[in-house]
This record gives sequence, C-alpha cells and structure tokens, in this order.
Amino acid sequence: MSLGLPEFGSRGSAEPGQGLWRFFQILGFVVLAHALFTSAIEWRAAYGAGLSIEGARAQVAQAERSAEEMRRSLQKHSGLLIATASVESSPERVLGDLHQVLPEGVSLVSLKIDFLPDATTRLDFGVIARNPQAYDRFLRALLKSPLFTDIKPGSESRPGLVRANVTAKHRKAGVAP
Amino acid sequence: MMNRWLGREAAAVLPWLGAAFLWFGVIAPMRADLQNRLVEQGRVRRDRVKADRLSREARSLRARVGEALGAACRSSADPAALRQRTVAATSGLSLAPFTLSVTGGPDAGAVIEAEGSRSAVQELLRRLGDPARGGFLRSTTIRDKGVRWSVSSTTGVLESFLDAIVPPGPSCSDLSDPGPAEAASEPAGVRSRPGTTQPRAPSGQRPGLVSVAPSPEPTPVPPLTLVAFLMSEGRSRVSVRVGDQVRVVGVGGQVDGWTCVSIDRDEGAVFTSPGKGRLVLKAAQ
Repeated sequence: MSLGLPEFGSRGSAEPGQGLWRFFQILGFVVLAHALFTSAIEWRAAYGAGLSIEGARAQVAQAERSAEEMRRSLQKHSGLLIATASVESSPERVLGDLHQVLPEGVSLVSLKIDFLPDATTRLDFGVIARNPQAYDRFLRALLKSPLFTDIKPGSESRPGLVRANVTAKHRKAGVAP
Repeated sequence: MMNRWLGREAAAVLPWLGAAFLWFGVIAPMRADLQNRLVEQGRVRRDRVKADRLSREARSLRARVGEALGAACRSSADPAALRQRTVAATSGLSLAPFTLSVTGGPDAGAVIEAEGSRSAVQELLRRLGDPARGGFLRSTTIRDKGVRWSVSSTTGVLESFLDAIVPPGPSCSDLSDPGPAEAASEPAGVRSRPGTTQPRAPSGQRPGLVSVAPSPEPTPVPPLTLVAFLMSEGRSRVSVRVGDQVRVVGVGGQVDGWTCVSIDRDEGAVFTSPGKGRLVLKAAQ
C-alpha cells in the first residue's frame, strides 16, 4: 500500500528490450573504437609509405640525373670513346684474337676495324677457307669466343676455296658487354 | 514514450553509423590506395634498377676511358705538328709507298696509307694508336698481300677534351721520336728514313697528300737529315731530324747551330753554320 511517499530502493518497471538496446549501443561503440583505431593505423601506414615512395622517387631521379650527366660528359667528346675503343681493341689485339679462333685451313686476308663513338669496335674481315667445312669450323669458333659479338656472316663464294666476309664486334677480354 | 524509444534506438545506432562511415569512407579508400602505392613502389623499384644500371654503365665506361687513356698526353691538332708526329711514327720502319694526308680543325687527324712487312705495319699501327703519343685510331684497314701488308688508317688527336675525363697530364712532345727500344724492336734491322717528300698542296686546314718513300742511308750521316718539305699558309718550312728529334724550321730558323737560309723543293733546304760551313738537304729522288 502506498502512502504517497517515494519508494526509495525499489526498481522501476523495466521496459522490454532496454537491455538489448544498451548492449547494441555498447557494441556499436566498441566497433566505432575499432574503426577509429584501424583508420589511425591505416593513415599512419599510408603516410609512411607515401613518404617512402617520395624519398625513393627522389633518389631514383637523382641517380638518373647523375648517370645522364656522366653519359653526356662522355658522349660530348666522341673522340674520347673512339680513342678508348682504339686502345682496348687495338689492331694488334684484334689480330691476335682472330688468329686464336682461326682453324687450320682458314686464313685472314683483310681486316677493317672501325672504332665507334659508343666505345665499341666493329670488324669487317675477309677470310679464305680451304673448304666449306673449314669455314664452318671458323664460324663456330668465332661464335664460341666471348671476344666477338654480333657476328654476321656475309657474302660467300663457292665452290672450291670459300671466300667470305664476316662482320662482328670485338671487345677486350674482361670488358662487360 | 515514442520519443524516448526513438532516442534510445538512435543512440544505439549512432556508433554503428559512425563506424560504418569510418570503415567505408576512410579505411576502405586508404586500403585501395595502399594497392596503388604497392604498384607505384614496384614502378619506382624498376626505375631504380634501371637508373642503377645506367649509372653502373656510365661509371664502367668512365673507368674504361680512364684505364685506356690514363697514359695519354695532349697533343696539338695543328696540321704541321700532326704531320710531323705522323712522319715520326714511321721512323725506322720500312714502308713504301707511304702517303699521308692531314686534316686540321675540330676533327683533326691524318689518313695514312702504307705498305710494308707485317711487323712494320703492325708497329706503325701501334705507334699511331698509342695514346702516349697523343693519337688514336679512328679506323684501319689491313690487307694481306702475300709477303707484304697494306694498311690504310685514319687517326685522331687527343686534345684538351681529355681533361673532361682523365686528370690533367703532360702535353705530348710533338717532336719526340720513338725511343731506342722501339727502334730495336724492328725486326727488319734496316732503319730507312723517309727522305722524299712531295707536297702536292699547301698545308692548311686540309693539306694535300705527301708521299714519303724510304731512301738509302746517306754516308756519312749528316748532322741534319731532311724529313719533309712543308708548305703552310704560303710559308715554306722543312722538318729535319736532329739526333732523335724532328724539328720544323723555316727560313731564318736555327737548329743545332745551323741556320736555314733558303728552302726550295727543287734546290733543297740550305743551312749554314759559322764553324761548319754549308749544308744542302735535298729530297732523295
């Protein structure tokens, strides 16, 4: 029986679903906190990666500029690279290297050496082979040699003695291709 | 009652909405960006590899130039000096016929055609392409003619552009002659001197051909030996060998105590010396 006095210590009547909503709300706050935390981590990672890419891009640009400047300074004076090629692939060295790959029955009759402005050496030489087999042996030996690249067999005259022209590039042993 | 319910629902849904906004509005785009950044990183990495390769190639080329031309000396592109140097490179070599054409200007050089023994031709090429003599080869053609070889070579001059790459070195002594070691290495054993010179055109930027053929050694050996007649800018000069040096003198010039008094291709170059008398150097026929 109520005397009109407040009922301290007594619970009001609980509305249906109130606990569920409260739980839903708390869970929402947990999810929000997780989203905030994740976005902070993502932002930090993105910021770091952005800085890293910018740094790497600047380094690449610097390296490219440096290489380009060096290349230009070398190519500015084509004589310098021609001179380098002429020292590295001197006629004496080229003749020596060619004689190393000449098999029996093949002889060198002419040799044209062009020293190019990209520090490479182009050879155009004529050979006489006793027979086609000897010429084939010569070409095989030439292809195997690391000192000759870009080998292009040219005109050949047969039968009998094989007279042929071959073009190739020569590089000094130890020089990177 | 209704409002109270709505407020409670809104309060419960609001954090979910905020989380959804963060997830789809911020995190998902950032993750998508991350994919783009990975692609970008891959591209930067490839560019870096390419730049490193270019840099390595340039450094390697520079090192090759430094190694090849480390012993090089700077020489003059002056046609007269170039001619003397080229003629000096034939010293002690039995080459006949020998023709020489020199060119001045920015692409200064010489065109040499000669014929001789295999060893003489190889030695000539070695000397012409020796950077320590201030020259290099642009192209060379060698033909085997049985016992003899013929050679046609185009040379260049190592000038001031060397400074761009290799540390400043000495200037070539334009008039230096091959050393005794080189002379001794000549297997022919005969030191023929180029004695006949026939300039066909005045020497300037593009002097004409000069034929130099070996001649028998004069006996006894005079103090001066004629190497070549030179014509440059209307002035006649001669290059003469004094001991191991080749010097160029004009009329009035002095060399080893001898004064040049006249130069004429037919009459010869006349030198006088107060104590030694008169010396006429003529081109050998």
